[in-house]
Amino acid sequence: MKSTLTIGIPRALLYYTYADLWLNFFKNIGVQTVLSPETNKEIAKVGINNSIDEACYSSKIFIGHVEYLLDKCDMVFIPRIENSGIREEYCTRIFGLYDLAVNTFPQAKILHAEVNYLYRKREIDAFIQIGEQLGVSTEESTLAYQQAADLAQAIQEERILQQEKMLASAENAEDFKILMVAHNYNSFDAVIGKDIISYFEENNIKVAFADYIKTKEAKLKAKKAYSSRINWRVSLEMIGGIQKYKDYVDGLVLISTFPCGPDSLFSEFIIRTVKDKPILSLVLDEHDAGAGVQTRLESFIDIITAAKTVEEAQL
Amino acid sequence: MKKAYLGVDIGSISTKGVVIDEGSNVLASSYLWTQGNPIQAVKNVVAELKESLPDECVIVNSGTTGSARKLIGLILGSGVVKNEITAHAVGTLSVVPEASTILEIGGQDSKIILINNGVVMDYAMNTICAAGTGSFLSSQAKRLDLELEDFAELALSSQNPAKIAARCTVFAESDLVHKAQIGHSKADIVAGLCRAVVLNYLNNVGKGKQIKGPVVFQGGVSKNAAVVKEFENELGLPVYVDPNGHLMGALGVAVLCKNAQEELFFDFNITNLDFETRGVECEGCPNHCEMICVYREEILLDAWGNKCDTGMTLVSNQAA
Repeated sequence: MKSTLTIGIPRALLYYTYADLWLNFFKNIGVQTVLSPETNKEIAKVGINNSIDEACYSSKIFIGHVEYLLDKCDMVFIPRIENSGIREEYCTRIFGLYDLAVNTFPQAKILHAEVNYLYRKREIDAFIQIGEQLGVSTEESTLAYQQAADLAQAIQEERILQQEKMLASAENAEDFKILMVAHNYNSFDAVIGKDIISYFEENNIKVAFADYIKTKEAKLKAKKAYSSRINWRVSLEMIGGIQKYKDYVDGLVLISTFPCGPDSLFSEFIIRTVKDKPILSLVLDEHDAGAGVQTRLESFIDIITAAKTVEEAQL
Repeated sequence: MKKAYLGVDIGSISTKGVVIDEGSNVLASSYLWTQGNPIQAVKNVVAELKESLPDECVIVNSGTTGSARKLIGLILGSGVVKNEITAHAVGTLSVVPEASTILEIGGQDSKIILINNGVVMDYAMNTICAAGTGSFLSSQAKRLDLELEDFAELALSSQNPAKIAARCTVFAESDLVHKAQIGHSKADIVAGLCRAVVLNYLNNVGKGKQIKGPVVFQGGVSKNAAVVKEFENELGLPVYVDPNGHLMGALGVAVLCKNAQEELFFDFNITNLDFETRGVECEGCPNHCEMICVYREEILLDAWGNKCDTGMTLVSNQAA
């Protein structure tokens, strides 16, 4: 019998990677979903209050989204995705989310599944597992997953294509462009990166994203440039994306949330190895200091536009 | 009539004002404490500048920089509102055109600006930690019962500076107490502190940056000759300190105004007008934006801090 439950999906962390896959899978099996709204200060505050200090800001926000959904759905969808293949690992904060949520909100009903290619738990197995919990047959889940996965892949490929076009087109040759080097859950979150992106756009600077790259391609590029032993998928995509897009942009903008383990290593790595482009590195946390960010963004724009205003600066 | 340009730099600690002529020569300058009230500080600075400005000069444009640049820019009706990094670089280059590196240590922040052929290439600012800034030196001077003015002289007299941990202010402070207790002379400790400031700066803000000469050092701490000497020792380069180093930000925006080729009416009368700012928390949505509304003689000039239009509607309704 098909479930009449409503599944809550927190709009945070891996949602930004898997939105198309998740939403379409649930749609295909005919299960209703409710998505938490874009992060606002209230959600962030609740998340901070319910998290330990040492957690990163992005994962605190995630907890806020879970809390928001508790009374608005029957089950909250929190899978444990440890990796998406061999040497495509997510960070411990991300694969610990299920346990974190269970212990933070013992009353919560959580829809759970596990992806871990090291233990032969593939993505498709996880979706079959989810189907079982919702009374959906293996065949139906498999079909729903395959359709959703194909669609999600097509959407992502289209995004990559559009970005490649935007960067290469002669029409935009005169425009200033920056490459956003940040996890997608930071770039697009309303209290983290979204305002930064709109600030650049308001100043007529085109924004490209380093993680708009196929994981396979990122692996190859990162291997060629640095090493085949980069373990984290998100860092792989950032490193690979820099290799792919760097020559088309005027500067790199690194955004990470405090304290991010992978970023603390890779931001430093990027700053030390990419020498031919100006780099702005911003580390954000819940102690909102808009003014400091503003000054850094303004002066970064001054730097990348300096070539055109040489006269002004030279005097 | 002689055209003149006003630049104001409103920092957290001090407010600086400069008026220049078309040849970028300083006609008048003023330097006062902000004392947590940027509007009053700017009124005082403008009044002081008016006093010393020759009668035939007319201010045709004004600019602001520093942390209160937006607020004061609105109040002065400024044509140029610029971040302090660009302003400092432009100001310094107008005095030392060949400068390649600008070191700056202020009251609570420090930065480094790298310049190539007169264009800012890269910069860094201290992050969360205020170690090695002016406030660290002044609090340690107090602990040692010294006037800041005597600090440098005493430090320079030392033959054997004490080794003081440079990485962190908290450790530096406990190191300092320890060194004093085991019998190091005050002069050696003070010299060690100056050295710690320099090492901290180079390890922190200057980390990984290639420092090339000519090097210009500014900000309040640049007035400390012992710190200047330590920089020269560490870098192996001469370090230039301009007597007007504290005015560079204000000078920079004044120069930018001059280059803007835009003329705006500037009214010295602002010193007599009543400006007021009010903080409002918008409750239109869960974002609870903290908005700042600026009023001139009870009339709303502008408001900011809101993420969407809801807040703006709220504020303009209130004013009506």
